[in-house]
Amino acid sequence: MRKDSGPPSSIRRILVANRGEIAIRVMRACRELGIVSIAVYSDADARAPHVAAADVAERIGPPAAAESYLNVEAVLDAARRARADAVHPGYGFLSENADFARAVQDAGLTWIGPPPETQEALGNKLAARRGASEAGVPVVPGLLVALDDNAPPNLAAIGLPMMLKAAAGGGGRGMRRVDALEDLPDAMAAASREARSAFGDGTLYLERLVSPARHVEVQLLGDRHGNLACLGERDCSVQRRHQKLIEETPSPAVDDALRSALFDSARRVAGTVAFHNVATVEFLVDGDRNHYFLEMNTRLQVEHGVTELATGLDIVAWQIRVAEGRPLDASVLEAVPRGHAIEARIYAEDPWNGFRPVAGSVTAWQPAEGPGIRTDHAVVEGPLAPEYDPLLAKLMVHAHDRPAAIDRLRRALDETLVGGLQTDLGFHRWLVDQPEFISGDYHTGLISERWVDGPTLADDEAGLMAVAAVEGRRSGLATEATTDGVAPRGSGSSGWSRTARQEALRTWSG
Amino acid sequence: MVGLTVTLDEREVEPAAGWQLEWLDRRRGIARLSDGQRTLQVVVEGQGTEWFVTLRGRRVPITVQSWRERTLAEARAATAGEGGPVEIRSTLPGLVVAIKVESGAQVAAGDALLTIEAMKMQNEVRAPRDGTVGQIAVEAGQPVAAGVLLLRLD
Amino acid sequence: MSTADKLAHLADLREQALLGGGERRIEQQHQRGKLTARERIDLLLDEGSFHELDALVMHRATDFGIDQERYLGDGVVTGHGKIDGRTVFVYSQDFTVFGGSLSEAHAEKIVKVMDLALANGAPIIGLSDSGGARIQEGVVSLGGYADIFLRNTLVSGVIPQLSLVLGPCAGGAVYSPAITDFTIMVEGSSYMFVTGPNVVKTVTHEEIDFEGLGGARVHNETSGVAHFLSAGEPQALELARTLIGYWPSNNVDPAPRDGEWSEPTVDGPALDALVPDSPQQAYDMHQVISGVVDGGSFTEVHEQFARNIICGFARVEGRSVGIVAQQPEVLAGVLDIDSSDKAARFVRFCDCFNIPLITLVDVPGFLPGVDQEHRGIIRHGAKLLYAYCEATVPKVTVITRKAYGGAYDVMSSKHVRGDLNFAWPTAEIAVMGVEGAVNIIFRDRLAEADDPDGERARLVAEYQERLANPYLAAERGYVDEVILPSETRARVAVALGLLENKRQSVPAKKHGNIPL
Repeated sequence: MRKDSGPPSSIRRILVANRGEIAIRVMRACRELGIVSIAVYSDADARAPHVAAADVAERIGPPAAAESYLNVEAVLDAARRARADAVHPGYGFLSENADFARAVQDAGLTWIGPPPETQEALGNKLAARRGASEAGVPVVPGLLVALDDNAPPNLAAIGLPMMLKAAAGGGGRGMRRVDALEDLPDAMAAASREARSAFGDGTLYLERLVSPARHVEVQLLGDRHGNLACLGERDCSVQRRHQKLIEETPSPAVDDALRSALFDSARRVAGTVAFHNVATVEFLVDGDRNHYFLEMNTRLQVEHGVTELATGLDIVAWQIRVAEGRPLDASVLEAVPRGHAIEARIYAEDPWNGFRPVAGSVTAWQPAEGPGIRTDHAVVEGPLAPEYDPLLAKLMVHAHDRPAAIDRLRRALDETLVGGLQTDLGFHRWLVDQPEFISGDYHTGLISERWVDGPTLADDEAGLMAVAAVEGRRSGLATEATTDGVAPRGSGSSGWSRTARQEALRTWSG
Repeated sequence: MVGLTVTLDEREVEPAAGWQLEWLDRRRGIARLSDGQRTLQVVVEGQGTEWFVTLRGRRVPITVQSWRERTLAEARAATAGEGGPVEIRSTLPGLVVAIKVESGAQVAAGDALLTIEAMKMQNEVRAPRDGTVGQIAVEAGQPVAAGVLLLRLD
Repeated sequence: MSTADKLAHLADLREQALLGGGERRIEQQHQRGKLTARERIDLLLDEGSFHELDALVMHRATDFGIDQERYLGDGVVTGHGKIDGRTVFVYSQDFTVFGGSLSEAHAEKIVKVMDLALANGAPIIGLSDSGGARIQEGVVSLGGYADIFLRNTLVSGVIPQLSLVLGPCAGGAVYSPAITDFTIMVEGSSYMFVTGPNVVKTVTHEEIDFEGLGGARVHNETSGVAHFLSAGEPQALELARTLIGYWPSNNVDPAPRDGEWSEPTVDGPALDALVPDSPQQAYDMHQVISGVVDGGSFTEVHEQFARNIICGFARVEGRSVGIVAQQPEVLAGVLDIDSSDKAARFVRFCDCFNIPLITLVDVPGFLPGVDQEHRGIIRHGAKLLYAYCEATVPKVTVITRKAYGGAYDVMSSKHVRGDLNFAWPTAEIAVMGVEGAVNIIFRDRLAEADDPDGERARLVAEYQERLANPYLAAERGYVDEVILPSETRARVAVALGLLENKRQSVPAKKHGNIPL
């Protein structure tokens, strides 16, 4: 059996264990590299765009993600059937599942991602935090050990308010803000319960809440020969419920000194584990430009595209090359980001209703086009599959500087049209006109402090919408059955005049 | 089609003067709004009186009604929400044999309220609509004539 | 006058005609909570489909200075339009012009539109809101009424006629709605009486107000003069649209069939559990109707009048049908004078207009009592019998429980040309109720018995077992099939398809002599 750590070998067939825009993104790289791409799909996705984008497609189960895209056996079976020699997991689903990575390697396939051991080591946020601290990387003040009922006496020294976090956590689950020490027991019970149900592990730790803060991450790309590249940082401070909505590079909050400190810290964190392929090291940056290690994600990030725009590199292609055992070359190691790139995530969710996901059908889809614009999407007109992530598309722009990038994003947002359901395009359109965003002086509390439930509809906008609705009505009338929605009943021909004529003729002849 | 009323967010809205709509893709509802100076792209969906317009990423439900449609819709809403107390009276002379609800009870339309025996038959008197039982004007064992108040539904 | 001036003059006339009696009177009409004649037409017809006739007609009277006051249209708006895409003719009296009073010219307009409706085989809908005859015109006005009554009668059974009383309708004027097929009244604003409260007081010394004498509720609940009670004018006009949707345009065309329909609101298994074990317990026949007809398709006629029988229009798999059904919850579903009248007229309407009849039977017989006998239950019951015997439209009958005595014969039985007669296993088809039958058949035996009560109970049980079921009737073919309640909708739907082209006739005659 060939192990992943074996000699370089070229990959010929990649199974993409994902769906949607990221699957298509990976398949595009495959095509450029002359590699056969293999899609997997659930029954809900038989006609999905990522299936059409692939050379080969394999069904892996019913619509529920747990029975398809999260089903390790089903995905491996598909890889065997399609004679894949490598697996790319994308992001989400099985991308950070070390058991899956290991099973892929055990099946004799190449795993396109960081080694499973690395994933395991970094999957425990508390252990990663301890490792980073030991490597001399600043971490958010707080505990380096698990918080149990025998709490250490110096909790007050951490400082209030504090954040309870789950060691196995992610996505905001198992997290609780604590404003007073006496609230801690209840918060612990709740967070632990949540963490146990979400991750099967209720271990918690405690950090001081850094606020206001910016969320800045460093993109790493490493090969198996000890080369490690820092491909710039991304600022992901526009968030709601710990989900990113906007990512930009470079970060307007990072100067050269902070940037080199961030890169240095990122390299140190990566040095604590055996690392190759891609990862992202996330930091919080406070108002005094202090940075604190948060966590390291061992997968391709949703927002990798802005880094690609700024560096001109194809990160996915390099993931594949690195997995083949090839070394990073100068184009990567000496890459210099150029200009400014911003990504706006377009979700099927209603910003005016707490960013709640919306169900429905896309009736119209028009992506933006033109210079400096990249839209990664898998949108088709028709009903959305409710089983999966509500991310519709990623709109990315690139320009020579940040003001130009914002103007470009504004233009692109105006060009991007989605019909049939509410998206967060309206939020983005609002954001690009906000002084805080334009100046770059914003932090993770922007949405909760400034957006809240969104602005009310202005009178002039209402007037414009009224023009559109009235015209819609007018032009639709011709096709409406009747104004009351009842199908016309008068289509059948009447026997009235024929009968009268027969009667008249009978009278005449009789 | 003169006199269309546009309702948005429960308020009446005047269409912006001077703006016109031109379809770019009628089937998908993609159009441009223009006043000769500026142009905006919008998505327009819907049928009959119910429409959605997406402008600058914001999708808003809009009702477009003629006077006729609005009058009928209001009448329908008034009928559906018909409230006020209802007096339930006996339709036939008979004997109240059972009272099946208590004052203050919540009942749904069609629930049995009481039983009247007449013509050797047990007749269920049912709630004509959802409501709360108010005064109960009769008791079990009481003979009633036609038209007698049995109970009130508030 | 230039051409442009001539065109402008027409525009002026049109604008003037639209104002009826003027803005002040329109305002007054609105203040009374009433709509104008034209607003009513707008609500009644498909948007923008109305075409007016005779908008420029004016009265020709000269007496009492009335020639000084003339209005375009003369107090009634007439014309034609569409309802769900089908042509109807309509007249709408305009209370803002001389209180909607009927002049010679006003009557001529109505007559013209009725003649057009007849010639073209389309329904006529009359919206009444009139103080009565235009007194200044005297006998000419009375003649106008008669012209209308005559046409109401001549077109009866040829095209559907629907009346909406949306204001006062008094004196002779009431007889036009009375002859038409159905009358809708609006709670609080419609009145109908032959003589008003003042005359009543003079003649009989009875004190009563408009509402109590001839309001919408009185005529819907007590007199049966009106068939529908609406909460407001828009509701009344929408109801008119709904009713037209059930009917063919004339007596030659088949009733309309919709291509789409909803499933029933009550499902089959619920019907299987509906009939109580005890024959003394009632159940709601509306449940059976809801289990048979398309969801939301039922519109009840005379909902508040003679509630022991249910009449109404509905659809079964999109086909228009007329439903006649006993209501065991009211007077045990007995046939009495009012329920016989109500159902008889309904059956005859359906027969006129090719609307199949579905009869749901749970009838203990005719209502006993001195009052009923003296008021002529024989005469009135005979109307329903006559109506069913005469009807040649498809007749589908379902006996759900009791079908006793003569009432069994009446209710669309096989013997009066029921086309397909079904019975539920709970059906009891017999000459009379079990106890009554035992008391008569075994009178001597019970008198001689040592324990008459015990003996009666034994005999009742025996009779119940032997005779109170559908199978004796089924043996003779009086029932075509005994079906499960849950099968009813499916069987009825098949039957209606089967009977779509049914032909049946009555001997040639000028007209029958229905016992009136």
